[in-house]
Amino acid sequence: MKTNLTLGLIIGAGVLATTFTSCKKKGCTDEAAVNYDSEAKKDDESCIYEEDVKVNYVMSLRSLDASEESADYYLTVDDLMTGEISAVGKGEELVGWNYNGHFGDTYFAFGYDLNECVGYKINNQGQLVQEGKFVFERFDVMNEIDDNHFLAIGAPWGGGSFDCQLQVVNVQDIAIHKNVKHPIYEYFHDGAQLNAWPTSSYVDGNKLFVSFYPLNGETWATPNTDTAYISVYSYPNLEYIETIKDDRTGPIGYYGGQPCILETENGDHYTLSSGAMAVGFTQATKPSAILKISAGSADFDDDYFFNVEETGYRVTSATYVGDGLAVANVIAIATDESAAGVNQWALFSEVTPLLNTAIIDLNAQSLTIVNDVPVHGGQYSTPFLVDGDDVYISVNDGTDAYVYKVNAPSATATRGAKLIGSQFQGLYVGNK
Amino acid sequence: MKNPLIFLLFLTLTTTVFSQTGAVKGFVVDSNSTSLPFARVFLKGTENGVYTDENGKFELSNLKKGNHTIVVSFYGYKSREITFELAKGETKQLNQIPLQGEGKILNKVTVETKSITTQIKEEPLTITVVDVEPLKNQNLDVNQVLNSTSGIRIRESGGLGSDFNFSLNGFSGRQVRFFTDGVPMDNFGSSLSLNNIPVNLISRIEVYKGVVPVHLGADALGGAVNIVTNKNIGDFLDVSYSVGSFNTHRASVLGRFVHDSTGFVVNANAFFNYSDNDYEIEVEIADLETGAYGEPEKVKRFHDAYQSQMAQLEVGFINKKFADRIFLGLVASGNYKEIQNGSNMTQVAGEIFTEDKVLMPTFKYQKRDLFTKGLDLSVFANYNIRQALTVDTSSNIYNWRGEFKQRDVLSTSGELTWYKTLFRFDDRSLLNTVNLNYEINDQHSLSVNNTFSTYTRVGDDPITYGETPFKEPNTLQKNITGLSYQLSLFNKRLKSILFGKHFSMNTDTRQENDETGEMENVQASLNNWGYGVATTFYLTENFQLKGSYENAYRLPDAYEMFGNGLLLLPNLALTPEKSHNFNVGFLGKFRYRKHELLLEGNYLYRLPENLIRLQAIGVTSNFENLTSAKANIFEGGIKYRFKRLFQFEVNGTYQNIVNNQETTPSGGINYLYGDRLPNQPFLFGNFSAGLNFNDLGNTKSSLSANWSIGFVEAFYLKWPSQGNAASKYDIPRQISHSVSLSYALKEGRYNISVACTNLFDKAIFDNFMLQKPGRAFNVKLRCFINKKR
Repeated sequence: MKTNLTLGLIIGAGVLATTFTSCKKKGCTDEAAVNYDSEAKKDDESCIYEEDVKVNYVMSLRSLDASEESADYYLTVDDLMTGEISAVGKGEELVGWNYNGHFGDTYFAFGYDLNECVGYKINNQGQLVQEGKFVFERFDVMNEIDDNHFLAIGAPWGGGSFDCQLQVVNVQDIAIHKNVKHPIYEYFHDGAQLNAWPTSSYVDGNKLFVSFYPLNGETWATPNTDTAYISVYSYPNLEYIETIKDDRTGPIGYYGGQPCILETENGDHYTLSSGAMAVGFTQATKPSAILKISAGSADFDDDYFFNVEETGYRVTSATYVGDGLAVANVIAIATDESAAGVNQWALFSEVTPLLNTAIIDLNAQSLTIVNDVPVHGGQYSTPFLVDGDDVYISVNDGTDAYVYKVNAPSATATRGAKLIGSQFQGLYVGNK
Repeated sequence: MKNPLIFLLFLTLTTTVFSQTGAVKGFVVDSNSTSLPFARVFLKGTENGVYTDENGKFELSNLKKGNHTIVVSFYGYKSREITFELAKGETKQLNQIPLQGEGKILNKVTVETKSITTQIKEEPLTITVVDVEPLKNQNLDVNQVLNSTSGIRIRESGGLGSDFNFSLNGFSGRQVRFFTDGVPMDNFGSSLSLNNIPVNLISRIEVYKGVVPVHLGADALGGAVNIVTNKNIGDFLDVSYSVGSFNTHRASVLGRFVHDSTGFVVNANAFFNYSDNDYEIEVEIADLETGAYGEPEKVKRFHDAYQSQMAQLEVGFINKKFADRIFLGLVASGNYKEIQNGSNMTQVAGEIFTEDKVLMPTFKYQKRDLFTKGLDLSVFANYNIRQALTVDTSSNIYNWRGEFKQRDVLSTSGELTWYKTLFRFDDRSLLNTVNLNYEINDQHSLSVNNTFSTYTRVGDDPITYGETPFKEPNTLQKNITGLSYQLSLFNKRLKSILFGKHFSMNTDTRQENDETGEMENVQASLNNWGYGVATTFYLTENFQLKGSYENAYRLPDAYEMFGNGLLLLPNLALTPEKSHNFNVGFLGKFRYRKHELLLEGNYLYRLPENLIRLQAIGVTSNFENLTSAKANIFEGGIKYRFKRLFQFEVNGTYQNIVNNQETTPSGGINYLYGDRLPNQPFLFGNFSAGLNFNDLGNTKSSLSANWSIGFVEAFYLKWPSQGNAASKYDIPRQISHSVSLSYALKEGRYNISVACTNLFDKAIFDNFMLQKPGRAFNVKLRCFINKKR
């Protein structure tokens, strides 16, 4: 009550002040100010602002399965753990379905319908405001390269060209600043060139690492699943150097920009080879496994090999938490094989529950299923938000969707807010 | 007798039970003995009158004994008076009443536009009859004419020849069926679409809302539109040419020759349409390198030209023993269309075009009183040979300034298609419809219809990287049979129709076997029953109530079932869409001295289920039976006319169509249950007013001025409940004004009209971001010569 009174007094004073000075038409001309004077023509630097409104989280919520009418909504969320999170009457509408990204202080939506990228920032009222937009030819994988830029890789299709677009997007301008055309890798299978489909990227020092998987490129057939590949480029010039390989497992990552490369506190990187079928592969010839590339190195670590398949599961996506622990989505081997028999893309349906959540200990090379999280559907570009030892994930058990908070050290989870929608497609920290 | 209901009851009792008054029946035909529907028949010196029904028949009741004179009139024809004597309680059957053509139809058209009351057909079905006669001299196309009708919204994506989506009371696309003279327009191809038909060829357009009569024989979920061409006049020649903004030219030549003694008839029609469609739009233009958008700029569309042409020749006989009408005909048509953009403005195309060619032999046969009196037979058949071509072979990416660059990746993709394409498909289709109508007596009649169609498509694409769609022929057969029974009681005050329809469908497609990967033939068939009832009751001579119910089905069509062979996957498990359609309405006509007023209102309740919608899974999509909806639709209209000098019309439609699906396909709660379906207009209306002056400047001339306003309330692109209103994408409110001025000379032999559409040059939209043409002018010259008889 006291604050209301104070606020009232401030506003009252502002109103009085503007009343008395209105003849000079001077006053506060900033609409965002508490004492904004719509009649003032000249600013007299009298504006009084409330303290900036802070936002805890920014979420991209999808209200229903992908169909003509579906759309995603960028929401500000204060509480992920109680009540319901819905886009009814709120949230910024994004046309059609989108990939999302948070680079610098900007929240991006990469629209599938319009081939258009829109950048939003949080204003001092705690609202998301559209800051700019640009059109792109193709964006498949988006990863940060520095505070002001992210890399968006566009993949080729159809066999006519095998060049990828390596595009550097400036976060402040919200525009493409550099666009390099280069095949990620040239590979022939039975005399026909295969496509190299990018799955993730990271920058370490003066090198850019791009993981990919080979596929026919005129169809979604994957005739080569014997090797894990990463192509290395110079950074920032983006010139191709070499492709590093490891045949202890299959390709790293798969379609849809999945989180498949984990970065630790000391700059080591771990890569996930799903070895799975229901993620869009027509065969699986090597076990699901995790490889390591040490900080500063440009090759796989021969001494490190975590054969995930030996745990009875295949790992499809993960995020690094700390102390060697990661939170991952995994699928039981038998489940994967039977699901792929029905649909090569079964793991992209958020309403087909196939996945378990697990804690992976990269050092101990162990996998612990988090029994608190129900079996749930898969997602494009699976979102994880790390907060200390906890990770927030989107869980749809086929009928209902919830936020779950997974605690990595204890391998437990708590069910949080109910999603009035089918999933969240992006979840990021706000400006707090 | 203050209470009209008691009066009515009394009236009904007196007329039906005691039958103290008499009646007269007749049959009105033209000089070719073709029936004249909607002819006016009234008792001379009174307001007591009726219109002939669709078969040209009428009955005038409540006549006292003694001498009577009736006046029979139809516009474009000389009125006739017939005098007869009636005994007490007698029902007199008159001989055929032939009306002679006046030979000055155009005069009638422009100067004495027919009574507004004739525009609504008096049937139990909810139907709006759009009279196009007064519109012929304005340079309007069929879409513009229909768009000013209540319940109808046509959403065009651009200028002349652009794609359009027709929606009738919320149903759209394939859910509404189109006919010309009762023949389904399915598989006709884009060169014979609704919008290409010259208005001059049409005498009226019937719009059936909900129940589609059995004689049209089709599976329509949301109604039907039947375009009725002009059959009832003798020799004529009608030549018109119009030129307008955006280098738009439209020409048509329509002619008919009748050899009176032999009954030999030749009909010849041709039209040509062309436009550059280079109208100005305001868009944000993306930089080709950075992708960043600039400030909105005004640019002209640069790759949007359209051309279509058609020629039709029909020869046959009328008024023969073996046939009232028998015709053989041939239609040849074609069009060329450049494609400027995809379904939104971010995809600009600079080189894509399509072509469509059709050659179609036709056969028509009609015989009244076959074998026995009251048994009428009509048969229509056509065989359609169609070839369509889509060309999208460029690797360029364009922006709205016409600048372009080569694609970086996706070099196998075209501008809009996933794979570059030179896709050509050949369609062969056969359609046959048979109508048998038997009028047992005044109270009872039966109609049977059978419509059979078969359709085969073969596709070829020499350059695609993907699978060629329809490489092997795919075949679709439909067979629809309908039976209806019409009952007329209380001296035709109460008319009812009861009907049933049987739908069957067989498909024979080439599909890849899931297990072996081999192509194999897959046969599927479907059977469904639909039924319904419609009734109307005349409270007074001029006030009518209507009600109807139909359990309607629509069979999935070839495109929905077969897919396109690329990313649109087939779904042979599709089941028909169905809907329960309830309609109630009223129609009132009032006349006081020189004032005429017509009031109309309808309420429609619809429960569509299993609506066939597109669903995306991964990179592919297919059609599925997805949504159920609930629709509450209100529509109404007022027309007023003072003498022949001034008239105006207002109509409006409010349709609240909401999601009626409680659970999602996967079984979860559907959070959008009850939300209004997005991307559909829900409130729209039209206003028009006109003035007509006769003998202005010259005798036998007339001048008419018309002004019309179309209104569509803004609607959201996506589900309305979701997102904050300020951020939501929408299709903004549309208010567009059009004016026109027409001048007719020599009783209508020569006409000139000048029109301006989108008078205030507003940026108007029917679809998300797709701007329609701004202010446009056109001039139409028309000459109509009709042999005097």
